Amino acid sequence: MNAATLAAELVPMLNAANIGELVYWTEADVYAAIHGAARQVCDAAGVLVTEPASISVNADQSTVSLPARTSAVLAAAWDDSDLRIVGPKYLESMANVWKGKKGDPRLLVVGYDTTQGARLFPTPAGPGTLRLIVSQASPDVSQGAPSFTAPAVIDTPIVLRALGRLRAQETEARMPDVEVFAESIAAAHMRVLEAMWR
Amino acid sequence: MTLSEIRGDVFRRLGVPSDGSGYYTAAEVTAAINRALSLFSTISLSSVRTQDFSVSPAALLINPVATDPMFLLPLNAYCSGEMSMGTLRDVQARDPRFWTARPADPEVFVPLAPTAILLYPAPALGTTISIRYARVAPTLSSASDVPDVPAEFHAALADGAAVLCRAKVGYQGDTRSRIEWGRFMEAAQRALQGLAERIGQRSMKAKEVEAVLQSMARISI
Repeated sequence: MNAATLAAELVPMLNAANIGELVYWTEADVYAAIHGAARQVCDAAGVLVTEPASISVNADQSTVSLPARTSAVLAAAWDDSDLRIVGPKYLESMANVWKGKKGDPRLLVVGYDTTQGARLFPTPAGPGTLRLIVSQASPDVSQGAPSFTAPAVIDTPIVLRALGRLRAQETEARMPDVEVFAESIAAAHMRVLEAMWR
Repeated sequence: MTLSEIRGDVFRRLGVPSDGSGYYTAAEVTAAINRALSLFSTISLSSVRTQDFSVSPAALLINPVATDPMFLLPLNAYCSGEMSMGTLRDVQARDPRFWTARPADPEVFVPLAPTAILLYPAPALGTTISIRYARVAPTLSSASDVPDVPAEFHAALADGAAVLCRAKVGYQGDTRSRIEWGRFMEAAQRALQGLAERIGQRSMKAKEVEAVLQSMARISI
């Protein structure tokens, strides 16, 4: 995906010949709208899935940091054995049993704290390797950082959603029909993607 | 139809000079045609191709987008024989140690995202997989370029592009736009049904196709 290309496509839809001629919006507004739409599209459709580099974990190390921009963990393994992925409530429901228990991890508790951490249960008794398959959020394109590797299919909902957002910001000469049109098509496109990939 | 012919059709619908000297430029109309083509090919799965993808030794996932950025959805895959399509849960239930590479060709492919297809078993030595897949149709740039969707649907691209162009002036809810958008969506639906009949629903994930059709039926302006 190239944010600069998408911005160039959006500008004529906002009735300007180039980004400097926009009346109601700044360049930063355009990139912020693209960034917001990209985050939403990548999160909702889960289109950026990867297996990041494996993580070496020491004995007695119960928490690990997830890779940057992780929005969901789809699968995890401890020394190539599949781990069950659960939320903190599952761990808490085990009452006092989990405290201090050591062994080969069987669970990966995601959302354990607010710093993108995950917890292994039981706490590893020895060192091991954690492998993950994760869904990622899009990188920050709000400052015009122009490109990242993404499927071309996300471009259309990003353009339409960004167009809807920008039209919604107008204080004069609003075009609610464009806003409604763009948003309804983007939403339908997203449902198609979710049907294919979720 | 070529890009030049579709562009002429869009100019005519918009009621402006076809040389791009009026309110809409040729570049704007071309961008709208390409956006309509992208949308059409996505919701109708009507741009299909087959390509080989190499798999690195012990790779659990392949990223088809790295080879073809237009990759959308795998329909069938072949390695040493036809592979079956599965889900992550299927594979996890079948083999909790599916992460370990094996000295065998993969038998199951699991579409996780356009950027990730999981292979089971992960081949220890690496291999090549042939995938038939739906893709986002490539953008048109030269006047003689022809859209990579069946020819019977090329006129519908002009319908969709004309409506997208009107974002500039903001009357996409008018009667003409509604009629054009209705034709565009109806054509996409016919294209999808035609593909399902041609290649079989089994290889297209039948319930997902049904969901696609339902999503399309709900689009209105």
